[in-house]
Amino acid sequence: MAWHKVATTSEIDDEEVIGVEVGETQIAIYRLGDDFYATSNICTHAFAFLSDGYIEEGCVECPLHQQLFRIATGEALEGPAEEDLKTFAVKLDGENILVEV
Amino acid sequence: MADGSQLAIIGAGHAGGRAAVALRKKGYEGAIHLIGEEADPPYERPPLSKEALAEGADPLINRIGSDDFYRDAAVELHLGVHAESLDLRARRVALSSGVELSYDSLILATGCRARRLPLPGAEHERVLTLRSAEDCRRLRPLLHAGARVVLIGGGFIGLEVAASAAKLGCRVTVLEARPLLLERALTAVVSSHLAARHAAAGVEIVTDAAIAEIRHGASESEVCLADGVSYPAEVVILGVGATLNDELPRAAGLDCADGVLVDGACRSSIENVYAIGDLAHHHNMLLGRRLRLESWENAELQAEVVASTILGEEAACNSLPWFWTDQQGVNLQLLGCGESWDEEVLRGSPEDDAFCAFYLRNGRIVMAALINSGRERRPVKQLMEAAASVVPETLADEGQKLRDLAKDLANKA
Repeated sequence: MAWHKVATTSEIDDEEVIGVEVGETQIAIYRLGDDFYATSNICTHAFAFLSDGYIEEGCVECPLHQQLFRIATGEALEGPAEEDLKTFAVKLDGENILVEV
Repeated sequence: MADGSQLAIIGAGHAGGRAAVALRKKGYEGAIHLIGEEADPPYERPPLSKEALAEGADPLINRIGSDDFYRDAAVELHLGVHAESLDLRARRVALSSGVELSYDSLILATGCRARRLPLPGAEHERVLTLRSAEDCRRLRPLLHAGARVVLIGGGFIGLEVAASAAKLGCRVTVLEARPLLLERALTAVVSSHLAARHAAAGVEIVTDAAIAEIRHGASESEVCLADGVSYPAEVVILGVGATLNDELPRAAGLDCADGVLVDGACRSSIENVYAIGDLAHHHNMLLGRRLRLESWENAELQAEVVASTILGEEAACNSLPWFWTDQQGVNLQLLGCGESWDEEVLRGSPEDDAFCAFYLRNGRIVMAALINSGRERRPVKQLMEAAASVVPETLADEGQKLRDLAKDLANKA
């Protein structure tokens, strides 16, 4: 496990998500207000990037099959997925967003 | 967990399987019997025409309920078994295995089967359909590089199979009887966009194709059109829609008309008998009409609704119909279906990989096609379900976020 710089805070608007790669791991980085979160970027139901998804009320909706996940915990809410999303620890170093992978 | 009541689900496809899972999740404590003709346990069908064909993924990649679930939740699976007769008065169903089951509640989820064509030569081992995991296992090894594949029917399944076959290096021809692909489901703009993507991937699309017969030689077949043109093929695939498996409910005397007639809570004309999934000709209060939907989402939703209904909770099928297809790098999502419209609004260009097409009636969106724009589905759905008045210029303006339009609406409410 190590911390990796993946983006800067100015790259993500409020209630937006971007996709990044750390090695071969696809990670989605979310901004909710002043807080940043990271989950696996791949839906646990079928192959789709959550960074193409829609964010509302602290949840991300998969662009393919409407699966909802709670961003902070990765919990699979409504939808076809049975598995939660893996989450990653996030910390800020000034403008830099770091993720522990 | 048993409370002595007995529930039978006839049909162990997507809707039937999901209903068993939903019933247990919601706390149903009686015995559950899940009866299916296929040897496979319940699974979702969308991967069959996509990753299972194109990438060789396990056709059961999206199973509904694991083996552990069926064991731990005491859902008894009767697989590879046909329900032969149904006695609604005695509340008994007789299975082809010789077993007779009594039930207190019955869910019919027999769905559809692939439609065959009454064409000379259509019943032959080289003429296949794709509906089940077993169909997929049979078809997959035939789709080798260089194989000539003729698809009869340019519908969703046919086109997804065409895309997968092209990806595997097959030489693919799609024969469509109508002037446009997916004419009933799509508008000209969206249909043309898909056709162009197929053409770019090397799929030959022939529209207005009137098929006269399929001839079979020793190692290859030939699909012959009425105008004399013929297409040689090692594999012929029929993708001409589905036929209802409604023989059992009809023979039992349930009210049927293009499926089993049910209300918004999936209740049929007989007490404690329900129908869900492709089979259910149901009432949708949001749309204010009856409809039957052959879709993944409908199977999901009605499984939840019927489970709630059986447990005495209020539930109804009131959502906007939603479908998707993945083919040739296009994720197409459709909201709404079969509506008349008076104005088309494009957001983005059909020349591009991503755009949206909206269909308005009296200034409100009644149907939408989202092309590689899944992110927009939720705000569009919100606008549609609220029957919000929209300004065409605003919808078309990519500088205006649809999310903001939907949020404005929520704030006004």
